[in-house]
Amino acid sequence: MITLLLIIHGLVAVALLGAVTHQAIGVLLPARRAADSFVGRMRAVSTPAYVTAVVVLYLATAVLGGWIYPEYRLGVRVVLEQLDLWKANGSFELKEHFAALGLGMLPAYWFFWRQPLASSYSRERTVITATLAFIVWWSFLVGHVLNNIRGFGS
Amino acid sequence: MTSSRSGATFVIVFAVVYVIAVENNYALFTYHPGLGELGPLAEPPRDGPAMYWYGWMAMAGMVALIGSAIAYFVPERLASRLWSGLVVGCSSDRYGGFQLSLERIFYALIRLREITNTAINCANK
Repeated sequence: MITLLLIIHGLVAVALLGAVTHQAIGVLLPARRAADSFVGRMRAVSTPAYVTAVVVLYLATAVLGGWIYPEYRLGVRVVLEQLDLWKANGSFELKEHFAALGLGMLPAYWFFWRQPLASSYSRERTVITATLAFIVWWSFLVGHVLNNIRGFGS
Repeated sequence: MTSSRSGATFVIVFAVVYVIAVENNYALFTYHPGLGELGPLAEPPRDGPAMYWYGWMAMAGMVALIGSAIAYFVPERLASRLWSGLVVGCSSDRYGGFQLSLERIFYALIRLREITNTAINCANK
C-alpha cells in the first residue's frame, strides 16, 4: 500500500513538474515571435492556463507526501543516519522545508495570477513562479535520488 | 485592497513563523510514527523518533491565518504606518542556521510584500 502511495506521489509530482516548468519557461523566456520550433512552442505557452493545475497538483503532491512521510522517517531516514549519509539526509530536510514554504506561497501565487492579469504584478508573477519551479524541481530530484538510495520496503 | 494585503501578510507571516518554529522547535503537536499517536506541542521521542514537521506547519499556518485576519480588518491609514516597520523588522538575518537558498526565498517574499504595498498605495492615489 505504501509503495502504491509513493508511486502515485511520484506520478502527481511529475505532472506538477511539467505544469510548473512550462509556466516558468513561459514567464522567464516568453516568446517574442511566432513559435516555429519545439523550444519556441514551449516558450509560447499560455502561462495563466497552468495556475489551477499547479495549485491542485502541488496540494495533492504535498498531501500524498505528508501521508507517506512517517514511513520515510522510520524506514529510510534511520538507515541514512546509520550509514552516515548526511548530505542525502540534509538534502531531504531541505526538501521538507522548501515544500512547506512553497505551500505557504500558494495563496500569493494564486493572487498574482488572478484574471484579469494586472500588468503591475508582472515581476511578482515571474519571481513567485520561478521560486515554485525551483522548489518543485528540488523536491522531485531529491525524492528520486533518496528512493534510489533506500526505497520503501527494501 | 484589504484582501491583497491579507494575502501578502499570510505568505510572509507563514514563512517567518515557519523558520522560527523550526529553529526553536515550536511545534503545535508531535506525531510519534512508531506508535501512531499525536502529542501536544513538542514532545520528546517515545518508543521511536518523533516527527515535528506537521506541528511546525500547523503552527505557521495558524499564526499566518491570525495575522492575515488582523491585516484584513486593520484600517488603511493605520496599516500604511505599520507595514513598513514590519518589513524592516523582518529583513534581519538572524536565522543564520538556514542556508542561503532559504534566506533568499524569505527575502523575496519580503520584497514581494513591499512591491504589493507600493502597488496598492499607487492605485489608491
